Amino acid sequence: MKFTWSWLHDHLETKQDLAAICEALVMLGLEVEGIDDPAARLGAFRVAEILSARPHPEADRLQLCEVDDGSQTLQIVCGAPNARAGLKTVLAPVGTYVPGADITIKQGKIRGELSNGMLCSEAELGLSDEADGIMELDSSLKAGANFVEASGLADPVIEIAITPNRGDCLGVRGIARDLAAAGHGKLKELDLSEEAGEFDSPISWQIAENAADLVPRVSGRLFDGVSNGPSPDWMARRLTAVGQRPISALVDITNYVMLDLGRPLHAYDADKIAGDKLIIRRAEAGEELTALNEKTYQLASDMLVIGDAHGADDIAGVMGGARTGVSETTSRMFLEMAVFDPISVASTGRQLNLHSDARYRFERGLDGSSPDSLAGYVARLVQQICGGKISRLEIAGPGVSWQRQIAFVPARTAALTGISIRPEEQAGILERLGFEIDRKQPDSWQVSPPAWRNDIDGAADLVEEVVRIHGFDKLPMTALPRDFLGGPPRL
Amino acid sequence: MAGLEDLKTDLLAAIKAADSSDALEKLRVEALGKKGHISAELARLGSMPPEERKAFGQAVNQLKNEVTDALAAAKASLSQAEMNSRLAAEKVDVTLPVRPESQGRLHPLSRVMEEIAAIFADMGFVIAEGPDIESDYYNFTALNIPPEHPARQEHDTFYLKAGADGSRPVLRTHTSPVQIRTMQASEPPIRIIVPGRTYRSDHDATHSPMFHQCEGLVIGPDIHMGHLKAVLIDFCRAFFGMEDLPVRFRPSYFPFTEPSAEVDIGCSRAGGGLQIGAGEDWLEILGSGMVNPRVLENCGYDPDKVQGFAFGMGIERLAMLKYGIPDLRTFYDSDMRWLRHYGFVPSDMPALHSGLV
Repeated sequence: MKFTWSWLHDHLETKQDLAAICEALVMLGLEVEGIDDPAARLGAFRVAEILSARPHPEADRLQLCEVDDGSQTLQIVCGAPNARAGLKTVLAPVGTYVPGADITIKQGKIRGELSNGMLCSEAELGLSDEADGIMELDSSLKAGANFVEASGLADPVIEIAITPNRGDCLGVRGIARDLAAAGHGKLKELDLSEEAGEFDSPISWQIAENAADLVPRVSGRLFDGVSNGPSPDWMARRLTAVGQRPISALVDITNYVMLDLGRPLHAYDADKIAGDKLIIRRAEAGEELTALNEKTYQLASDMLVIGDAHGADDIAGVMGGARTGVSETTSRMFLEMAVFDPISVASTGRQLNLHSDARYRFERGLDGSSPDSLAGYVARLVQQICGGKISRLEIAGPGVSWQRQIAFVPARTAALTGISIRPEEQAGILERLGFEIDRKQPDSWQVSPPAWRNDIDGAADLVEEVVRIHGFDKLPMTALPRDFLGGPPRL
Repeated sequence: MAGLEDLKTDLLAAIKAADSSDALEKLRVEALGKKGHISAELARLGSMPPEERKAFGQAVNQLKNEVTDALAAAKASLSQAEMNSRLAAEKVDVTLPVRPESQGRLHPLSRVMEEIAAIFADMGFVIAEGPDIESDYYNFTALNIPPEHPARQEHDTFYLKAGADGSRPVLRTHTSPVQIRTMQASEPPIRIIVPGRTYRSDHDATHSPMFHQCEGLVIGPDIHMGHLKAVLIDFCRAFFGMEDLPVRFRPSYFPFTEPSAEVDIGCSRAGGGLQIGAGEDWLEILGSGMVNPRVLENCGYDPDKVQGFAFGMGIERLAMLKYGIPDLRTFYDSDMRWLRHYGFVPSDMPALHSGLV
């Protein structure tokens, strides 16, 4: 799971620095696998302006550029076809290591002409595969400025390993919630109010009888008159930073919400859906569909699919279909938010050898309330970026039965771990993590886990939550008793 | 009679001159044998006149006795001489040092297992074992890893042919099944370690399809996570022989423990090499946790009455870190040069009182 430093700050109000937060993540059980700070990696690159460009006297494809680096004018030999007077671009001054080319720039002569640096493409900076020419920066940037900071790339990327029980931390908000619970900041409010919608969705759900056990809840709504196009810079930048390729606003929103809230979405082009129903059913043996990765899959009768009058076009929880997917010209989008049986999704994905970020989340268990609780937030995000009108929510399935109560004796924490933590403090930790506690009997609580914590099974899990947030570093060291008499007799 | 005197002189001279047992035997046959000189003299008795016969007979018998005695004396002195010369020739200096003999070496994995056993034995642990071919139940289900659990996918299991009941045995993917077998077979308190072979279908520079783990299990009425922490910190410091080795516990997840903790030791990567000890970095070394109540229930225990902790470590990893062995694959190459370099003298058994480093 990758996210950026600024992204975390969307959910967490904190004054702690990167190193402190990363240390805190490790001690919360969210193991930091890597920190990539472009500001450190690309800090030497500068914004520069090409003042003039003329042909190299000895080479047809090279130009001699006079470049303003903010303090002086440098002559640089450049082979990019787009190098031209007035262009703001990226300069690697002499002595800079260029990661995409794996070279360190030296002052030198190229075909007899002096060159004092290198003008760079995105590929040379390792930012993308774009190698056709040098970067063309916004003309408002100042020559001499630090390139990474000036172009908004100074956003460290943090990668953490998520254990199989923590599906709730496959979204940035879940990570922020853990940090806030441990006192490393304050979890910002998220506007989860409902969005009523202006009209009935012309597309509705139908759950086939043979699939009812695998689809506890699904919601969807139509967005009419949306304009698809490139997503906003901030969103594209974050997606790129965490290794996702921006495609179009509608697709990017689904990916963004998945990474932001751990909530996979699927966007259909409503105009490509045959009929007025999306039918969730088990596949017919031998049925085929072409998924978004443009590969055709042959389905087995135990697999869950979503289809329309034409047939299946979505492998539920694993990957959407090519036929009904959104494109640049989509103006009516139907957006799916479902909870499918995790075992079914895992088994289907394994049989088809098909991995996806959605499957990864579905099989670890989603927030059971999310098809209802996140619908309003997501609708407003779509509308804010792509415009259009929002339909009323179309819901099917009886609901996920995530509500449960766990009997918890606060003294259990000390008995199991050796750390005494005051009951008030224990209650505070659990409540900050989203648990609700009935403390009518002070020695025997009834604790209700939040909808996103499918992993909480019993009192031992609650003890772990309390001690994990309190800090494993506070565990006492207690020697085993020496008068142990277990095992076979010894000499 | 004069002939007898000459014969006597000749024979006694020859006997005196004989320099070996063989020569002496030859003389005995020449003198006393059936066709020997003395027998020939005795044979002459029959043809003598009776008055000469008595004196001659006495003379020959005396000669025979003298020659027999001379032969016996000569034989005794010769064998004494031969013994003396053999003793001189075969003399051994028992004070010399023994000759160098080529000796086998103990594999580093065996050594590390002995070291682990020595440390835990001192804390009251005993060794338990279990089969390499396990049932799906012991390897997964009883350890709270139901079918389709995401953790099961991470194990890369070797499945064997299904038995008569349709269930597929596995090559155990960890030593944890022995936890279950031990708890089902005995009553608390329990304090065991389980060194042994484990198998996963994974083969590259850092994974071997067969490798070794050591499991630990402590069960009692009031064993808590503070005990776990003390035992594992003591172990890490004793094993690496560093009293001040930093040890860190951080939350993690294993289906069979709750709460679960990974254990890291301090290290430094300054200068490109890996140095264990206080440093700027951490190295994951083992997994641990309080036994999950579900697992206790599966073993017939009441989680309200007994509790305990379990841990597991990779023996190859410990051996590589402690003895600076850079490549996992070399453990299984059976290369004599490698074994002579990294192996241990078998008589040097690890013991806490003599130090483990």
